[in-house]
Amino acid sequence: MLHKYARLSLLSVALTAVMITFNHVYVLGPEAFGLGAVLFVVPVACLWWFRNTRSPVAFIGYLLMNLWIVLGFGFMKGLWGIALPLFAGTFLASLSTAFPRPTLGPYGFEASGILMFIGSLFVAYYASQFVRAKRAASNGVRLEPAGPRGQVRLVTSAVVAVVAVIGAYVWVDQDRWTAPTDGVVKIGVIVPESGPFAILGNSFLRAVQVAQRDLRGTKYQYRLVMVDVGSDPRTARAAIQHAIRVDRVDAIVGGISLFGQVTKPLATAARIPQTCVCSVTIIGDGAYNFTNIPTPDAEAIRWVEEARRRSITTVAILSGLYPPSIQGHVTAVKAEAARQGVRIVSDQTFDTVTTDFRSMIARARADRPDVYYVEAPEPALDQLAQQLSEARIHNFASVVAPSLSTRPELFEGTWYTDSDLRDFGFKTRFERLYPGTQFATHMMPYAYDDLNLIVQAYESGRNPAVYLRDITRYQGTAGPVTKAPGSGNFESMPAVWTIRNGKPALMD
Amino acid sequence: MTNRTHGWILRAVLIAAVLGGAYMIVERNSPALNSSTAVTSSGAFH
Repeated sequence: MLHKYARLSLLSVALTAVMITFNHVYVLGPEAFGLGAVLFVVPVACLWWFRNTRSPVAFIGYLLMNLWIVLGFGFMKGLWGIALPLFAGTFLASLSTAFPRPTLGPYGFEASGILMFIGSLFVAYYASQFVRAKRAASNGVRLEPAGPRGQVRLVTSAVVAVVAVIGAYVWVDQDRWTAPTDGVVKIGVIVPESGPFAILGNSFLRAVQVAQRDLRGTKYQYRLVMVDVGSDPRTARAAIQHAIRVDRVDAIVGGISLFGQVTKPLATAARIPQTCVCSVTIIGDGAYNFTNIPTPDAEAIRWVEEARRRSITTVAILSGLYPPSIQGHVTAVKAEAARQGVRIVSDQTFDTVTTDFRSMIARARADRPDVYYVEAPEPALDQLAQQLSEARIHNFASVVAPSLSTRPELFEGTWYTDSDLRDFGFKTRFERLYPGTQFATHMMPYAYDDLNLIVQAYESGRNPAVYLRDITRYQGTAGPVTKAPGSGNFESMPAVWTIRNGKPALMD
Repeated sequence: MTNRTHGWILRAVLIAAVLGGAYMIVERNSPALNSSTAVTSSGAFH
């Protein structure tokens, strides 16, 4: 009996170790195989030692490895970290917005996590049988199967354990309101203040600062915690983590998807809301992360609508590969153009080091497009516009980009889609407050609204993440903003703009 | 079939049901499968 249970115990350890290894490849990469080797080799060695010497040290060592597998991987990671969020978390989120929709990994990760838990139940069962068999062998008695009373006790404790664990999960999973410490709500403002995104970052920052200054008669005090993330998303992570762990921010407002993507898992782990002026819609998970700016799809619909109004049937695209949101716009425009029967006759991309666009322009021109779609970051955008002008091409259009040009005169008469900022008072206020500063006006109303959404949540005495989940509509600074129930994307329709007298002007 | 075989078949069916349910939930919640632009846009202008 001792050998039989030792064999079954080792078999369950080996199979569970395979599941643990598979699961950890998603987190650790190739290092997971090292972990798997430890989880397999150490129990085998302990058991071999025990078989040859009956050493209690070997026996305890084997049981400790079993304990690690059962508690660490089976219950903590497999059950609590994966199976419960997947099943109970999804179910609870469907019942009430007080529960966040869980963040799920790829199917292989989730499935191996569940199997890790199921495997650990076998590990626990056969380890207990192994211990009983050893005790029986030491006492020189036969191992008796558990009687009906023992079985009833086992089933009862299992049911009580399941109810207790699920109850604990429901308690922990719920987002509750807690009043801010000392009446101060700390809001992390995550944007780059220098580098290539400085115009965007500073525009966002000024809008949030003005929104804070505009607050009157609030119950709580709202303090901004500036987090300058620089220009590299890799170094940004440490700065954001510092704001969450050390500065203990209660909520985050952010601009620029590149950094919104870095913030997303950190905000989720800390269970604080992030509202982001991000065009990358997958950032908005509807749990703790929400995007607030016209989506690439919305920009594309408006862009193609305007193109059709202008009787445009053929388009040549010249677009930068970086930052990737540009390709987000381009992909959406191509898809919408195909749906509306507008033909893309030329589609060329370029990297960040390209400065000479003449051969590309010549190739595009050969296809005789009705309009040239141009989108690139600075300084490539202005260089491209300059070279198009030199080639006597003036019929170009874009999404957002011309509003960020440092030489808007190059885009005189160009049409493009951008946020629907009808309230010119909003814009002129900033121009008066910060004379001579170039602003990315398209993101400012959303930045202003983002801070106000967090403020409204606290003032209403509700958990800010739950408050954001519940909103389906609000009157924003740039027109009405809607959100489908359960979605993490606040949606708004962009408008068509043009550059008139060197300045952006609304066309419709 | 013995009781033992029945027991293992039942376990296998239960595990398959749990994994099948997991697949349905993961597929429904995966943003990459639901949006035309989600896969391609991974950085940003704003």
